[in-house]
Amino acid sequence: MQQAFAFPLPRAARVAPYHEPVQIGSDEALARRAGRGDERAFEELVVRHQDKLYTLALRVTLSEADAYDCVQEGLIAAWRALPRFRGDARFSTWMYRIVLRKAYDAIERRRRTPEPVEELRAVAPETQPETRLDLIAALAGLDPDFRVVAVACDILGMSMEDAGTMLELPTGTIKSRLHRAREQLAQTLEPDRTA
Amino acid sequence: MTEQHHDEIARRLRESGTVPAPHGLREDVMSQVRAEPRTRPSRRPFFAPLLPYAAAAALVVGLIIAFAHLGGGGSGSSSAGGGTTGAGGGVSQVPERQAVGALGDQGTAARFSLNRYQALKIADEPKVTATRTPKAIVIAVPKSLYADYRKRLARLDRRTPQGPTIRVILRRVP
Repeated sequence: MQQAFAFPLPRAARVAPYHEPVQIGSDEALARRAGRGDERAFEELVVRHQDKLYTLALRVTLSEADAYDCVQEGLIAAWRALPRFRGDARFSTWMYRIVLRKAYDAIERRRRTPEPVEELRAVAPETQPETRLDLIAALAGLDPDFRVVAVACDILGMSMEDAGTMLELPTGTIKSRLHRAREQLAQTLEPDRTA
Repeated sequence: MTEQHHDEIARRLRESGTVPAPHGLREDVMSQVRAEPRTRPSRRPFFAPLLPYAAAAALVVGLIIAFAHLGGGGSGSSSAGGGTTGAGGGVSQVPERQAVGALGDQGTAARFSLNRYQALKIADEPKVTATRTPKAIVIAVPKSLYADYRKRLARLDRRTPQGPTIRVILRRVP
C-alpha cells in the first residue's frame, strides 16, 4: 500500500529551450542558435564581443560616434546575415569583418565630407595615462591599412591567420604590415632609440 | 630597429587593452534586433538539386517534339509563302496566310474562299479530283498544274463578291 504513493506525480512540461541560460557554449553554437532566431543567444554574442568590436571600430575610424554607429550597424547586419553564416571562419572573425567594412565605409564617407575628428581619447583605465595617450596618438597617425593590422594582432590578440581572414589578405602580407606598423610606432614614440 | 623594440611596442599595444563599449550599445542593438522582422531560412526540398537536370531534360524533350513537328510541316511554309502580290494577278494575302501550315500536308495545300458555283465548276474539271465535305471542297491537282490552279483560285477568291461562299482546299498530288 505504501508503494502506491510512490508513483511520481506528473511533471510540468519542459521549458522551451529559448529560456535556458545561454552563457554556456561556444560562439559558433550560439551563432547557430541565433541563426535560427534565438535573440537571447545573439544577445550573449553581443555581450561577449561588443568591447572588442568597438575597440576595432574606434581605432580604425578614430571617432567615437562613427565607431558606435559601425558596431551598431555591423551587429544588425550580422543578425540579418546569421542564417547564412556557414562557419567557414570563426564567428568572431566573421563579425569583425562586418564591422570593419562598416568602419571603412565610415572613413570613406568622411573622406568625401571631411569633418574634424573629435577624439583620440584613452578610455580604458591605465596606470600611465600619458604613455597611453602617446601610443594611441601614434597609432592614429598610422596608415589605416597598417593600423588595422596592429589593432587586430596586438590589441585584440588575433592570430595572423585570423587577421588575414578578416582582412582577406595573405598571412605574409599581414606579417609585413604588422612589422611596418610596429616600426613606425616605435619611430614615433621613441625616435632617439630607433635612430 | 631590433626585435626587442617590436616586442615592446606589441606589449604596449596589448596593455592598452580594449575600450569598453558605450553604455546602451547592447540595448540599442537588441531593441533593433527585436523590431526586425525575422525571415527564417527556407528549407530546400530534397529534390532541389535535381531540378536543373529535370529542366534540361524537359527542354530536350520539348526540342525533339518541336523538331518532329517541323520535320512534318516545315516545307509547307516555304511553298505556301512563295506567292507574290501585285497588280498583275498575284496571290492574295488572305489565302496565303491561311495556307501557311494550315493543313500540315507538306506544303501542298492552300485554302481559299470562293463562290459556291465557281468552286463546284472547278471541281468538275477533268484534270482535278474533288472531294466534297460538308464545309469544304478539297481539290487535288497534279504537281505540274498546282501553281496555275493556285493563281486562278486566288484570283477568284479576291473577286468573290460578298455572299455565301465555300472553303476550297487546293492540294497537290505527288
